[in-house]
Amino acid sequence: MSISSQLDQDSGQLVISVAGRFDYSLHRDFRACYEHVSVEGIQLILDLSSADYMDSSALGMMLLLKEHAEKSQAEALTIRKPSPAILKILEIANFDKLLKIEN
Amino acid sequence: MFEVDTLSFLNKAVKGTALVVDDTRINRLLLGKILSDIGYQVVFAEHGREAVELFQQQDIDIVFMDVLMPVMDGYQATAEIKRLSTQKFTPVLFVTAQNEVDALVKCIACGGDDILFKPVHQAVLKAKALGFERTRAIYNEISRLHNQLREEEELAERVFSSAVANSHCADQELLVSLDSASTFSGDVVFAEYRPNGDIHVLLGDFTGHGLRAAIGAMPVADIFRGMTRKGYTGEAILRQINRRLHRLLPTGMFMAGIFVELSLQQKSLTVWNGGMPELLVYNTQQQSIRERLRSESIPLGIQNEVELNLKTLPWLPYDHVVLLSDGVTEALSVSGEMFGEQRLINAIADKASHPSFIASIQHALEGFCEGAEQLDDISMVEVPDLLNRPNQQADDTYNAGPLAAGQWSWQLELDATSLKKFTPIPLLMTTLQELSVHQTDRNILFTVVSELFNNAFEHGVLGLDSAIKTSASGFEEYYRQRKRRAKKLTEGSVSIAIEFDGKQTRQFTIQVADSGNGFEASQVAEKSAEQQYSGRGLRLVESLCESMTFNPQGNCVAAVYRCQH
Repeated sequence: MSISSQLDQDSGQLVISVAGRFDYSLHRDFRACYEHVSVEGIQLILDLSSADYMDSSALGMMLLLKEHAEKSQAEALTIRKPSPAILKILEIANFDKLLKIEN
Repeated sequence: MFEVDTLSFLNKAVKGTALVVDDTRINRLLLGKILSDIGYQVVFAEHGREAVELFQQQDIDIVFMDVLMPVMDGYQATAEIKRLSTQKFTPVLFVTAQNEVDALVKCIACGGDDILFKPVHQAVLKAKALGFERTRAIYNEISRLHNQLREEEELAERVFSSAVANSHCADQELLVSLDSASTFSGDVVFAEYRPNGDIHVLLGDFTGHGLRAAIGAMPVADIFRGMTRKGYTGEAILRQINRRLHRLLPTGMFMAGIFVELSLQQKSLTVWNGGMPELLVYNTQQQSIRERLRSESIPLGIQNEVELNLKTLPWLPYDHVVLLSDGVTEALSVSGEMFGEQRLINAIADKASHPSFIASIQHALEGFCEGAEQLDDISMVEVPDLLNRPNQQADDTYNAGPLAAGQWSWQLELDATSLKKFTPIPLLMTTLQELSVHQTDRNILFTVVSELFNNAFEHGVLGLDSAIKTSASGFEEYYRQRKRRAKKLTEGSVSIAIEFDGKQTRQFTIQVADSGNGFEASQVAEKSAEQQYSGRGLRLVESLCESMTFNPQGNCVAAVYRCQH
């Protein structure tokens, strides 16, 4: 599967990793990664180091994750290590103004 | 443990008409007897041809088919029956003595649904018949839902086209190509004239595609068209669209977009890009891409208020403006490679061998994709070299309502705080329309009042020097300063007063005053009329009006315009 998630209670991090194509087909799996996890006070990290393409629905999914993080009082949401191709899409959409992106 | 109640299953009645096809009379009778015993109405055919004819004439629910028959065999008859049976599911069961793998495969291959071996056992036959009734019910339900969905989609498509995709008013000016991946496009293109003949163009790309993406397009169409016609600025329109989409669309859905205001009078392009590929300005005289304007803003509908970062630049003769959706550079070839930016730039450079930039890009895309499945909407808008085109007359016949009559006056005074957030021109346009002022007169008045108001605001209140605008770099500097000063504004005012005498002179008197220092009296005396007025705006007003006069201080102007209709 091209989505996996790992909750580390000790470090207080939930890391969601997407590999390959990040698009609408991952919608359900993506939501399932965080929907039933208690993320209060947890640091949310979306690891895109293995993703090589992203479309506008993926941008939408990130906004949903951000909304979830805010509603359920997660610590922060960070987009980690986007590939150059993905970083370009994030920059075109100016999502660096909305989300914390970490290389 | 699960108990299977076979008895009550087999006690269910079968319904409908069965067609028995066999060239041997005794076989027909035997099978017919069993079928009528379990509840079927039975009709008979002696060979395949007769079966096909009967099938066309009567409402047949299930067919029992022999294999070898004269005139037409069972395989061919089955294929024909299946071809005819598009509206409903009619199972065809072969009845054969040949217990061979080949025969069975052939029966299914020609379109048959199952096979019964002779001698036919009544319970087996009935069980299969009941099973097929179940399949038929599911098939019919799917087909009903499919038809319903198609009807609804057609209806929605009609509503959508008339609201959104319907011809752009500025069609004759622009080249537009919309290539949707499904019935509904998630890409939308709108183009509309402002009252002074400037053109607003918006290319929007909603998240995803298909119906879910198209929903947001309807309010965008209304806001864009309505506000542009009333004379609102691009910034005000985009803010309104953003707020509406933010309220309307669920989180995760938004509209990336690219907007251009083409000002024929200011000879300027004002561009907003929120999440779209670069806007390209290609100059055919310089034979190069003169400007690339990348996305400076987040898409619309994500946040309630958004920083738009509009940019104004000079519009030169021989400029061609190209707007694209990301479907162009992200189009995939059969082998899964993306079209990419370099191929796009090459296609633009190759324009000379094509009638337009769009045609050149389309040609390159077709060659690259070679019929690979299109995954995203591909949209392009091209603004040709409008500045080198001979002037066209506006359509005078449009909106010929009753003549403006009566006498009225309209007045508004705005202080610094109000000036920062309010542009009075659209309000005035609505007022003029309500007072039955003819479209042609309204358009001229829009130009006159806009120019006078901008002049008062930019030079009088903000103290900008129009001399900055003379060079290309100064042009952009001017608009940067305008933005900066407007943001910091704390003092100043502008007042507008309009009077109409519909009884005698049929003249409009427009007076615009500002709190600025005006012209130096000595300068006014020394300079020629052309230099004295700050730029082409005032010259334009002068050419449209009967008269235009400044007070001695130079901070109050009165223009008189005679009604044409």
